[in-house]
Amino acid sequence: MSTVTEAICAPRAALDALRAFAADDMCGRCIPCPIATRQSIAMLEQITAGHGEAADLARLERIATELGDAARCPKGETAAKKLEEALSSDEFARHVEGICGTGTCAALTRYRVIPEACTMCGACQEACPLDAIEGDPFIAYRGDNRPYIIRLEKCDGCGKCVAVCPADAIERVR
Amino acid sequence: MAKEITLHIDGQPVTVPEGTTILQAAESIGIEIPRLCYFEGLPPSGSCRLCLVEIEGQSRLAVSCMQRVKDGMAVQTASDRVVESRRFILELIWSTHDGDCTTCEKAGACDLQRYTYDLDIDKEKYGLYAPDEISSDLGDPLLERNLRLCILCGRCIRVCREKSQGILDFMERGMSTIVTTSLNKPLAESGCDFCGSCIEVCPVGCLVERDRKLRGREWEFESAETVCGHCNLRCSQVIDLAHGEIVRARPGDDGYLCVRGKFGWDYLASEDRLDLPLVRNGNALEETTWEAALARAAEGLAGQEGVAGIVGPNVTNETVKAFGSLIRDGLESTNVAFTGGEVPISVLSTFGDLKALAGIPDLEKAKKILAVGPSIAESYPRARLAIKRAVAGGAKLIVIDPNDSELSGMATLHLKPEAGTEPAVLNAVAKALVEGGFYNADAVGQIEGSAEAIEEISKQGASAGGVSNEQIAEAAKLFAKGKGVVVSSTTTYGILKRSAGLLMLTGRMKGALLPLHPAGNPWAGILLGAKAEEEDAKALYVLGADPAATGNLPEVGFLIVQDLFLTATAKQADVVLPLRAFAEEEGTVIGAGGKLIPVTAAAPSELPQAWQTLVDLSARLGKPLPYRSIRDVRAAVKEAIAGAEGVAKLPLMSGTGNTEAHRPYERFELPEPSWTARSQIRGGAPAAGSIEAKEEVAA
Repeated sequence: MSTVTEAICAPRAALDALRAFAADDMCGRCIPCPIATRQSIAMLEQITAGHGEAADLARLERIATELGDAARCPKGETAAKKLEEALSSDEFARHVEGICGTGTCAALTRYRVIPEACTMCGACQEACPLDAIEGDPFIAYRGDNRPYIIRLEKCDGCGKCVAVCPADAIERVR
Repeated sequence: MAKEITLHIDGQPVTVPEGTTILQAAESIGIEIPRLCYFEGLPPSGSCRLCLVEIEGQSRLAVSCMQRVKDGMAVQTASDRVVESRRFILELIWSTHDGDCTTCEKAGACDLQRYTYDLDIDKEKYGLYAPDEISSDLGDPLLERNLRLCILCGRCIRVCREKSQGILDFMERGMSTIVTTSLNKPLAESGCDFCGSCIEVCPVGCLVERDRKLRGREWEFESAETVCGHCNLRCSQVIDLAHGEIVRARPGDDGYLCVRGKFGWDYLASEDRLDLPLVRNGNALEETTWEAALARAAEGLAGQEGVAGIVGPNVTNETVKAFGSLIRDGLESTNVAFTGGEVPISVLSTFGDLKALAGIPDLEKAKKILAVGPSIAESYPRARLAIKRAVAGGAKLIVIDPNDSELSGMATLHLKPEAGTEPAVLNAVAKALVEGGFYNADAVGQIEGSAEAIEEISKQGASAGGVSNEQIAEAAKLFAKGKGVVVSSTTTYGILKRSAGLLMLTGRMKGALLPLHPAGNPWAGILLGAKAEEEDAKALYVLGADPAATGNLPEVGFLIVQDLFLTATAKQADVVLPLRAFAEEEGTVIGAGGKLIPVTAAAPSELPQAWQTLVDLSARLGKPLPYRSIRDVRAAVKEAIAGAEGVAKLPLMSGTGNTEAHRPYERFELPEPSWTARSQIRGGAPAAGSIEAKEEVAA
């Protein structure tokens, strides 16, 4: 069995950090900090859901550079600094292009069945919640059974097939 | 003298006293730094971050509304970094401000709108975030709270704490923060007294008077300043008109109006106002012209033996004076009564002049305050605010009130006598002052009859309505020294005379006595002069009073009534003349400090001025009054006030005061002031946080 994710991607890490900041540290008593945090969270949600736009990155950059000046207390300043550091990663731009690259963002992750490794057990097909996997189980001496394939247009990248595959025969294609 | 600090702001040198903030220093040389949370007169909170400035040698931007100046500081208020930060904050605010300037009532007077224009802000830079559950109208009476426009500047919270009940605060936290009442209850259930101070400070359209909605834009308003007429404190008031109609009232220079001043102007625009004279035809009153009505009035008065007049306390001095002149000189009768009560005589017969009267500034500066009577805070919110400020400044407050009240909660000492025994308490305090040697012997020695009065004071019995001797002694000692004011919501002769006595015993002869009265000009009675023994009146002229409402209208052969509305008295009249209200009349009133205060016709009226009508009527009677202009009447007013002055006399302070009748101007029982009481606060709001309203809420 392989793990679904190798590491958390930078946008998701930034989103998690801001959500934690909003839930724990933020007081909401100066005007810019809560709005900037709320906006950043909204944009990162879009980016990690595969709906990010280049303009979002520009807006996030602006928040990261300006919030440090605008926020009242060191907590807001720290949040801005962390965001700024995160944004130096090129993963944000890649997310906007549609690639997560780590498997963190399901919407940006796709898989394929490696035909050479597949034992045609059918476990992945049973596990798929979206009926995105086509193919027939192996039956000895039958020649018309189809190999398993994942229909990318139906797949949402949830990775359940990977988890159940006994032969490590499913790999991430992006 | 504070130390002077010199600094440079945007390259300009400026010298200001130590302790000045950068924002104030910039303002002093005409540099306006944008701000949304700072408001002059309120403690700064530094939360909007819009007033950030750059200080040479500091890496962080500084909040100019809080940061104080230092010698040699070099401040940039509009550097690229500062302006970019400001633009950023405004862009963010627009993502939480669900508003449309084209339909917003605040447009034209909105700070957010102005800065957005000045800095050419992209309003849609960030997506709008306004959850559906945030309400666009919380349904409060009198004012609309639209939290979809709230930018969380917190001004309303701070002004409510400073000037009113402190019922607003930030609720929840973080990104869910909203400004509302505890548990987000409606204002009417939160102890709000509807002074509307929050509306005055709101920088955006979140808080708006319901009356003004869809009545006109800010830039169409014409404004005129006058003084509110809903009690004798006469707070300055600005009336805003749009298309010739009143749409809003707001505080003038004083910066505060209570619910009556802020919202209680509806009576001016009431459909029930009289706009044409009426004359009796059989059982009916029929509308007619001024010409015909005055002719009928003159005819009715001319043939009568024994004419009497009654004038109320809600008209200008000029009206009272002209009325008195008409009855006395024109109709040769001294039978003229004033329904405004016993304040003038109690003051004049003790202090001798009106200088002893205190106004709100005296109360705010007082170090010792003696408050007598019930519901001072609840009925006179401006007095409450003054006392609150004085107490915050270290003043000692002594309350004489049988009940617990908001004021007694602030008091250093609360004397709780049995109801109706307040005069005895005042007597006892006077006795304690004399016996303890706390009184000002030098000052008292100058006053006529003082030896006799002092002797009587020390001889009287010790009964003080159930208040202990220790408390009385403590009150006397506490009140004895420092700038002292007696403020009283009970304006009977017995109470005021004794209050005056206490002030005289402690040597306070100026700006010391503040009687609170629900009428707008309750001291105008002194303009009428002393009244002779009354004979039965055959004809009666009632102006701005409603004796029939309290069953005190005498049977007369001919009755003229001049009032705003068709009152109970007016319904029985032979001639009814319309009257201008305070905000419509030119002239003067005697203010709380005993000085003449000008009132202007801030609201439009087609009616003639009352003094003019009275002069017209006198001409028709063949006895024209010598008033060609309002200046002539005003001169007569000043003369009458000077003529009413006498010498100071220490009053005898014994007995209960309840049986004493000293009413030279008063023929009838005190009616309710004729239209103050009628002005309904619309929408079911509790009137000025009154006791009744609180009981209603509790029930």
